[in-house]
Amino acid sequence: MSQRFVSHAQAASQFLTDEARTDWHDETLWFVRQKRDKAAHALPEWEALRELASGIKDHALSELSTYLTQFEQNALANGIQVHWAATAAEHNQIVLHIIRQQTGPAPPRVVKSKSMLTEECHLNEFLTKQGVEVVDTDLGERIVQLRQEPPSHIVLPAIHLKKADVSATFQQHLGTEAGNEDPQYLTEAARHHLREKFVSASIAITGVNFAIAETGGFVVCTNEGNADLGVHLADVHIACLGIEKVIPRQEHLGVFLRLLARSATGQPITTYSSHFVRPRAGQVIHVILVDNGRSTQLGRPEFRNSLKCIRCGACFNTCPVYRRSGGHSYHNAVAGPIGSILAPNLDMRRNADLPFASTLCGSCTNVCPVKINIHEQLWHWRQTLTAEGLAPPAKTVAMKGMAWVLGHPTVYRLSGRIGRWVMQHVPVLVNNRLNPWYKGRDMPSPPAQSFGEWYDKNRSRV
Amino acid sequence: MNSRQAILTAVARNQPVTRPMPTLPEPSTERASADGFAQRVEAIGGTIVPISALTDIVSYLQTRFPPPARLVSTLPDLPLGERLSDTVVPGHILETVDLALLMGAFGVVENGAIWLDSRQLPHRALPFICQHLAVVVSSQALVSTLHDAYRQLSPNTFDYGVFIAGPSKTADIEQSLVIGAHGPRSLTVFLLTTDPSR
Repeated sequence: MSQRFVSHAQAASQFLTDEARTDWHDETLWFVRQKRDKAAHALPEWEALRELASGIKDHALSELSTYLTQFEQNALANGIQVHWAATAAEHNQIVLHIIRQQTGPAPPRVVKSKSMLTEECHLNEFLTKQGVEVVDTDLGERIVQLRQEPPSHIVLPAIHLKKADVSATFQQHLGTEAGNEDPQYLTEAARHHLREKFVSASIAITGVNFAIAETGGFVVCTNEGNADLGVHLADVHIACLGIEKVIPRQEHLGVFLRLLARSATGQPITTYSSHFVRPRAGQVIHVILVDNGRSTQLGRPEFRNSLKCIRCGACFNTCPVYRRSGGHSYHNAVAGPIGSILAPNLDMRRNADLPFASTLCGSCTNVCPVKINIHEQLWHWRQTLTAEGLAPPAKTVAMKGMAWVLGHPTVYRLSGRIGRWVMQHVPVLVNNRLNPWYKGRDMPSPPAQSFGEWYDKNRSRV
Repeated sequence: MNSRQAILTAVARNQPVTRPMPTLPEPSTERASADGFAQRVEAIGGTIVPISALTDIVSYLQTRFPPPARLVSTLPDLPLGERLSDTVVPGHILETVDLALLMGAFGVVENGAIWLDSRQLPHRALPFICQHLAVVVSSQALVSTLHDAYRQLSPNTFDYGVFIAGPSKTADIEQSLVIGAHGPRSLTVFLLTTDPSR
């Protein structure tokens, strides 16, 4: 998005100004997390499945070049056209070229189902500038598209909006009744609006959940059926995927599809899990394999694991920082904990704030279906960013000051005493807005003495 | 160097040493439970109609979808609905279908999903574009888990295939579940308890 850059902390404090809405956002996502727990606990073999999924991804990434080649060969043999894009810009050019080739000078009618990769590449913005209208067909994505906003969650794109917001947006763009906030009514309106788009579209773009090296086919999962409605009616299907989405064998889908929806929303499986192997008569399928920094990430041992992600969003729903800051505060297509470890790889300088948008509590790691060590990677990114001189300046100064105090025992003891005295006698010096720890909470009451003082006084008794 | 070569070279250079391929679990030993499947289908918003013969379907659907409803069916021996030819082009002619009746290949007990592929579908758009969907599943054709399901599907035996689990749904507006997003507004599963070949 082309807005002025706002850091995560600034955007989060903006988000937090509406306390009731923040609480609602927090509780709604926690509810989704609880549904995930219920689904996970219903399978006694859950932990074994996570281990298996993690192991398959580890293996797939370790032989990725072989599996990519195998996928390409089999896809070509199936009559699918395969393209390779090193960057986001190249991906967008390939999509545009396919569209132009198909429709010539006529205005192309393009429908698109959910694809975080195309968000990462800013495909919609690019195509719009080229005069190509793209209609997002996932309900949540259509809502945010009409509002000219990016999705705020990879699975629940409009989770930051309330019924009243959707009602107002639909009234403005689809002509629904003012004030009618019934989700059933609003969904029905979107159904009619989007059916028209499906029936008239000549090109359908989708993301890909899994690509299978063994068959050259790929799988797309939706609950609404929008990906299928798009591609089965259009003449051309363009499927965009990151190179890390390739898995070795079809049977591995049994592992990933058991984990994906349970981790995402607590459903046992998405309503539709569609397997595309060969185009139907008269249809053309294009697959675009996109690198855009993934091969670089593969070469970083401490961050490589992030490529195992299957985009379920479980780490978002459990994250205390995401739940209370909202997806837009992450200024990246993929928000939340996983986004915070993927984003610095795309642009270290621009996304240097994101690995600090975490308490490092580790809940993300605990729910991840493919066992990515997300909180450890957040910590590693902090080291890397600080070494590169990209850590927030205030943090750098504070850390240096802290290191000096901790390195000088006399100074440490003296400053502790001063701190306790100040907090006891002139609390206003710390309980003010200049102190970031005072924001949103009171400072604790100070102890009468330090542990060191207590120990000196009491050790003779032991 | 073109992008393909550049990507493959970078990947080959950066990928770690080979990690072993894990082995998948053994096939389930317990018999796939028809009751379990029925409960699962209902839990995900579908309707189960137990039948003992395919002819039971006719009266059930005729009552619920009286004329002028447009019914299409791929079950050859039932006096019900339009029969679609093997190649329907384009899918747009299916937009006015009120109910599609299809034969499912098999059902999965753990999640209530039903597998349909190009061998059962006259057009890929049919189970998505119809207003209501009905699928026949034989209780003999159930598997316990998705692992077992993929054992039934030899790679490259189908051009397109889909697991369908319940009717089309969304919760994108304030997490309120709405059935009938873009696809079918309902899913009826006729669970056949005797062998259809008899």
